[in-house]
Amino acid sequence: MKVYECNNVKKYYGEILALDIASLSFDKGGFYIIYGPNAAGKTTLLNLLAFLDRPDAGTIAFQGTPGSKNIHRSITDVTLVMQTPYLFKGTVLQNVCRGLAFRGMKKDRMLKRAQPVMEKLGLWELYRRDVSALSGGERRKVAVVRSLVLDTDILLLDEPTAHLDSIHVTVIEQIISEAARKAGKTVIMTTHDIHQAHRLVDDVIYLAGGGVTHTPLWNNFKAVIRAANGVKKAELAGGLEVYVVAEREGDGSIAIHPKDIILSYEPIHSSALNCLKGRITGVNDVNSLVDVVVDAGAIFHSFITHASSRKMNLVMGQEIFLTFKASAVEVF
Amino acid sequence: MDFLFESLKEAFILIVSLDRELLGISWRSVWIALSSTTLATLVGVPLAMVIAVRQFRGKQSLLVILNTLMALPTVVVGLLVYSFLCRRGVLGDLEFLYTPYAMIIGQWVLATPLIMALAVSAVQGADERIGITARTLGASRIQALLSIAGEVRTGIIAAVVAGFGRVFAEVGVSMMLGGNIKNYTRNITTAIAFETSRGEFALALALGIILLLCAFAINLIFQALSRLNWNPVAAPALRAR
Repeated sequence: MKVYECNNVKKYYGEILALDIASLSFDKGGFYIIYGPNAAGKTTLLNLLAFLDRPDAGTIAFQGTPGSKNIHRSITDVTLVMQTPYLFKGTVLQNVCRGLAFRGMKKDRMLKRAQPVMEKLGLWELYRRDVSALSGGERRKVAVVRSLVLDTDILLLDEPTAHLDSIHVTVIEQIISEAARKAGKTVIMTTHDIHQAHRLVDDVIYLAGGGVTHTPLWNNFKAVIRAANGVKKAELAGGLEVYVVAEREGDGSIAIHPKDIILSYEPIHSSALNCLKGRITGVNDVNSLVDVVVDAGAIFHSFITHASSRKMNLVMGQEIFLTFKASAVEVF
Repeated sequence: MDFLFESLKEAFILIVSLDRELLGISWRSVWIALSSTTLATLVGVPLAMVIAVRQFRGKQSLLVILNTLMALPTVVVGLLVYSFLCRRGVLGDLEFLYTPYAMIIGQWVLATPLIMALAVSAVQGADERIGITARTLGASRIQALLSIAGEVRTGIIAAVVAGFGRVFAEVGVSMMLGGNIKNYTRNITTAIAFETSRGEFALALALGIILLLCAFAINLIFQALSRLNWNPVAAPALRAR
């Protein structure tokens, strides 16, 4: 069963088209991560899914019903943790119970619902603390728990780990993953951390320039597209130039699938127009592949197999060449 | 200087001896001002909340009018309300003129725009995430508005305090609509004007001191209210734990 079905959804801020989604749906009980750079439209999309805003064009069906109908019922089925959550004046417990109070729940039932969740997530010892005395990570945790105790069918999270240290990121990721495992609960989360996206789910939804793209946005850069000698070049911040195939010119973004980048110790003479020299700055495991991070004036990721990695004997700081075709570069 | 000290001494004697007339005038001032402030709050604050959070045509013009009405002269309000309450006025049949009710109506007209303008300003200065957060947690529109009110309660209470101060200290409305009738509509400010004009400077001074003390006490109460961990939605037991 689909919980959301977005069709031809458009949202404008003034004259700027912030969101333009032809088709996107979310199944009941699924765990979805939406990855995109800044200004990709992630927050706009979540606001629409949380019924905080309405699309300027198109439809968002909620459990088969258009979103504009039964809107209050829909709001109590969905909860959203905002990117910079607001905590109401008062204590941690008052904040955690706030949504339950809105639902008219009696105080003893509120405590029965909130206490086990808070204990499990290490927040119970802070229940009397004034929220003004909490750290950034604790505040984020309170906001996530405040939404979790509502036990709504749909949980939306807008970059819940942004600007947090690694300890808090791990804790909040665990909380979210556990919530997502609960039968029937649909969790939709946005992030601009590509590693986090792939760590949590297998299939990431990529959002760029307000639209869904099927190109994984690993090597995603802002660029200025220019025509030069019959070909198009994308100039990245720092002056690095990449050959692209594009109709348009001017400001935009590019993305290159890490699987489309070939690594070699010598320049490859081939039909591929892009051959960049860089140095290895990282080697990480990503699922069944190896993510080789190369600084070539911009930070690139290239996925190779473990067998290739062993064969190439990659060493940090080593000089290496990146080769990819202009047609492998997605332009937004 | 001797005249001032002598008058001050007499004023303190009047206060300490709990002079019946003095107490009657003071109590009348307090209950009339509290009644009009309560009415102005009940009307002004909800209207201010709606004006602050909603976008509509003419909002800026309305805010300019409200801000202008903050400086409305009390005698103009007295005159306006008089035209409604006098025998030939549209509300003349109620026979409210020269009664405490007329004073309450006049003071209500005086305080409402002031409380509204200051409350609008307080709500507009609130973090815009308050209402959105409440909505994401399943709040109805009214619950979301109450949440905003709870978060900016200090500003709203300051608006009410300013409204109370305005009506408690005004003389024009009370004089024109109450008529300064002894033991009926005479309040502190009209009594001060009256007693000074007939040379009873000590009584006028005593009333002036009481006016200041009452205003001080009521401000203290309002301040204590704003410091309370008052939450219009959360259950009281959660606060006490």
